[in-house]
Amino acid sequence: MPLIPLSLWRLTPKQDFLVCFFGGNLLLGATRSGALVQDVSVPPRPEELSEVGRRDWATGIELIRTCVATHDTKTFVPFRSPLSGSSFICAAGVSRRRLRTLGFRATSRRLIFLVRPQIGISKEHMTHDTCSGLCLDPRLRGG
Amino acid sequence: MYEDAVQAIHAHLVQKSLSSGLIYTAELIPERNSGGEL
Repeated sequence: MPLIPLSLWRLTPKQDFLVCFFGGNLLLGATRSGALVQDVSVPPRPEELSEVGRRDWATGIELIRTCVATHDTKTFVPFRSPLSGSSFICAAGVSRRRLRTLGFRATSRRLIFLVRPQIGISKEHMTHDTCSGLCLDPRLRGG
Repeated sequence: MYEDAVQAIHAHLVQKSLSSGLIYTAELIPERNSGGEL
C-alpha cells in the first residue's frame, strides 16, 4: 500500500482513549531510554535525563494532567468500582490521598472512579491499560 | 523504533489547546477525494 503524503492528512483535535496510558509510557521511556545514569531518582532530576528524555517526561506529565482535567467537565460520570479486576490493580499501588490529587474520589471503603464522558463503554475501557498511565505516574514521580 | 515513533508523535500529533493551554494528542485522518479514494 503506497504511503499517503502528509499534506493529504487532516489534523483533528480529538484525543482518544488510552492517552493517559501513553502519558505513563512517556514517563517510563524518559527514565529508561532517556536516562543518562544507571539509577534514575524518583522523581528524576533534570540532569539525569537527556534532552529527549526531559521532553518526553514533560509531555507525559502534561498529557496525564489533561486526562485528569477531562474529569473536571460537567459531563463526567462517577463510576463506582467493584474493587475487582483491573480497576483494583490500578488503585492497589496508589494511596487514597494521591488518588484524590490525580482526580479520583474515594468514599468510605469504596473508590469512585471519575471516567470520561463516553460512559456507555466506560466500564470496559476502565481497564488496566487505561489506568496504567495513572499508575506509572505516582510510581515514577513519587508520592 | 520507539524513539522514532515518539519523535514523530511530538512533531505531528502533540498539540496545545488555545483556551486552557492543556497538551493533548490530535489524530491525523486521511482525506478522501470526491470518488471516496484516499
